[in-house]
Formats: sequence, structure tokens, C-alpha cells
Amino acid sequence: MYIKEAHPSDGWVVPQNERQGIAIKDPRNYDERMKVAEKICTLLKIKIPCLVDKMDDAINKAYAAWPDRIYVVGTDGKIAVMGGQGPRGFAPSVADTRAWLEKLAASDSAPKRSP
Amino acid sequence: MTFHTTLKIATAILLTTSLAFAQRGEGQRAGDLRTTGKLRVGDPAPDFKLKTKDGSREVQLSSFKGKGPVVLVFGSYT
Repeated sequence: MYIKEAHPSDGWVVPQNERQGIAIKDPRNYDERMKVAEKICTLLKIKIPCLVDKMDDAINKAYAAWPDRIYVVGTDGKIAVMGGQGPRGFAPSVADTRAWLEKLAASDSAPKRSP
Repeated sequence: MTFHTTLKIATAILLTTSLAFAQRGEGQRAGDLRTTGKLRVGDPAPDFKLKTKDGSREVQLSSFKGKGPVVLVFGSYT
């Protein structure tokens, strides 16, 4: 899910982005946000649905997601895995997510795929 | 200015600065929008209905309930 920019060129600039030539202005409206989301999802070849948070950042705030974060929502609609907040908490939560999904896949409660 | 007056002013400045940091979170600088949040494992996931990047359709989280788990990956370009 695309959320508010972490280090836009007109905000909190970080040297890593400057070195890599990454300069993205913070989108000022939803159309701009959609365009930046399209750009990054295409660049990263993301195959899963790429959603875009609204300009009020409601979902970002509800999940305390900024700057990046992973959650797994269980089949029951409840939070099953709550990753650490990025940037430092992000990488460990990828492993946690994988472990949770592998455990589910190995269990009887795994959702059955349609033939 | 007496020593005690100086001490009071210094304490006031220190408290004000500490309060500002406490509101943002310890060690956070301006522009750091991280928040603690109230969600915990086991809580109902806040529902949402959002457009896909090309605006072609909307996806609602609760539509997956009972069907399978959903991995939410939040992030931006930068």
C-alpha cells in the first residue's frame, strides 16, 4: 500500500536517496499520489494489488505504518503479525511474515485453493 | 541575573525541549512522522476500501475475511 512519502525531495531529504538520484516530491493531491504509486509499483514489478492511501492518511495512521511496515491479517480479520516500524523494524518482519505463512500453509487450517 | 534565576530559566527551557521531543517520540526529529499506534496482535484489523494505483478498482480488506490471510505492505517511493 502506497502511503505518504518518507523522504520527499521537498521534505526530509536523506543522503542515500541523493546518491541514488531518487528525488520524489511529496504528492499534493490524490492524482499525484496515484502517479507516484504507479511509478514505484511498476519499478518494483509488484504483482499484488497496489493500493493508494487517501490524502488524509487515514489508513497509514490507523496502522501506524509510516515510513514502512508489514502486517498480516488473519482469515478471521484480526492482526496476526504486526511488523516493526521501518526502517529498522521492516526487514525482521519480512522473516516473521514468511514464518507465519509457512506455518499456516503446513497446518490444516490453511485456506484451500480452488482447483 | 542571579544564579537561581538562571537555573529556573535553564530548567524551563529543558522542560519545554523535553516536552517537544516527548510529543514526537524520543529521538525523533522534525519530519519523522512515526507514531506508536494502538494496534496489537489479535485486534480486529482496521477496515479500508482503497483504489488500486491505476484507479481501475477498489479493494476492501474485509472482503477477504473468511477466505484467507492478507499481507499488508506499507511503504512509499523514498
